[in-house]
Amino acid sequence: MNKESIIAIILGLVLGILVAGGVVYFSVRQQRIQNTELTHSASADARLTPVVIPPTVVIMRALDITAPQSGSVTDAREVKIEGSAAAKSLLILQSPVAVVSHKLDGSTFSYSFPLALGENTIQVSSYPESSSVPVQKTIYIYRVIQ
Amino acid sequence: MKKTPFIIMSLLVFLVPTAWAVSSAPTPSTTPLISPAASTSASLESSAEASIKNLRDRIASKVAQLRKRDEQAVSGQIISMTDSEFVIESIFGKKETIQLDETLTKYYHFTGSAREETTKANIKVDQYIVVLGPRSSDKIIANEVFKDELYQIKSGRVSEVNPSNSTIKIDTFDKESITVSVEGTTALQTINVSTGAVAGGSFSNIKEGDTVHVVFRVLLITQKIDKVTASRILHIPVAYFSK
Repeated sequence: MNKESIIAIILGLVLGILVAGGVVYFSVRQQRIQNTELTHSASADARLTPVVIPPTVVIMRALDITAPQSGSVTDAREVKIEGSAAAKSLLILQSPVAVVSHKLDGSTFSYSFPLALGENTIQVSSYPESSSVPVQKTIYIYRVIQ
Repeated sequence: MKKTPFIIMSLLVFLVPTAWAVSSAPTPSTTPLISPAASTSASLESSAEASIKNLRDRIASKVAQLRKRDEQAVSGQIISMTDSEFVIESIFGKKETIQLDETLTKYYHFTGSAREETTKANIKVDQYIVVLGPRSSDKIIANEVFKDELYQIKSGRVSEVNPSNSTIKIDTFDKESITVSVEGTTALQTINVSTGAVAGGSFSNIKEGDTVHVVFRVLLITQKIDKVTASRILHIPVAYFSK
């Protein structure tokens, strides 16, 4: 075998190896891309699974009296009535011995209210800014001399 | 070495009762002794009586303290009574049994800004009372019983004004129709249309369509509330809501 033939065989082998390597490389790469797409697709499917979100219930408490608790017993001459109502509403506190009225700026209130001896029926009314129908709550406070 | 604690314990067991006996022995009296035996007996008797009295006072005080600690207030009209119990009915229709104690329960009535003690004999059926005391199962054990008056507050719109007999008719927000009598003693106030503050009011300013809050006394919780005498009226002109 002459020298040229040997060189040709070697070059043929080298080229064959290169082509085979390239084919293997591209096929493996293609496989990887497909796998990645499948994974992404599976993730997307997972994200599309319906999730039941509980509905958010917003309760608009138009009048809330936080203090004092109805049925409280005290020996004080006054009681601090605290709570919240719709912003800018007309707030009226009324009992057989006193009345307090105020137009709220914000939504919370705190007023000192005089007490009579014995049972004090105190009606708290809130007239929201755009309404002539009040939201009302009545509390009973007992003042006794110990 | 192991004998030491035993000896100490023995000494303590012996010494403590001896010391107690010495300290609790009657102190010698400086008064002349007529008969030593009689004097010792009398002294022991008075000492025992004092101890019993002291113990009784302390128990009574402790019982009163415990009863105060869990005290709550209930109110209502007496619908039946016996020597040891009242049954009251609240404005919400709830019935409560009030247990009375011959020595511990005190009775009061209010006179202006003070209270005066009264007796159970002055409390009759239909009396509205406030009771303070702890709850025991389904009963309230009364520490204090106060004679009181029941007031209610109703609000609504004025549907009719009768200047001739000083009455107004209101349709309440609870869907009731009430005739309100306005008297000389009625405290009448009005809401300032621009500020919302309370100012002095007048019957002549009340018009149909206005809103009123009426405070009135209820004589019997079972009575039908369709005609009342106002002790206090708060008048809100319709102009306040239409501004």
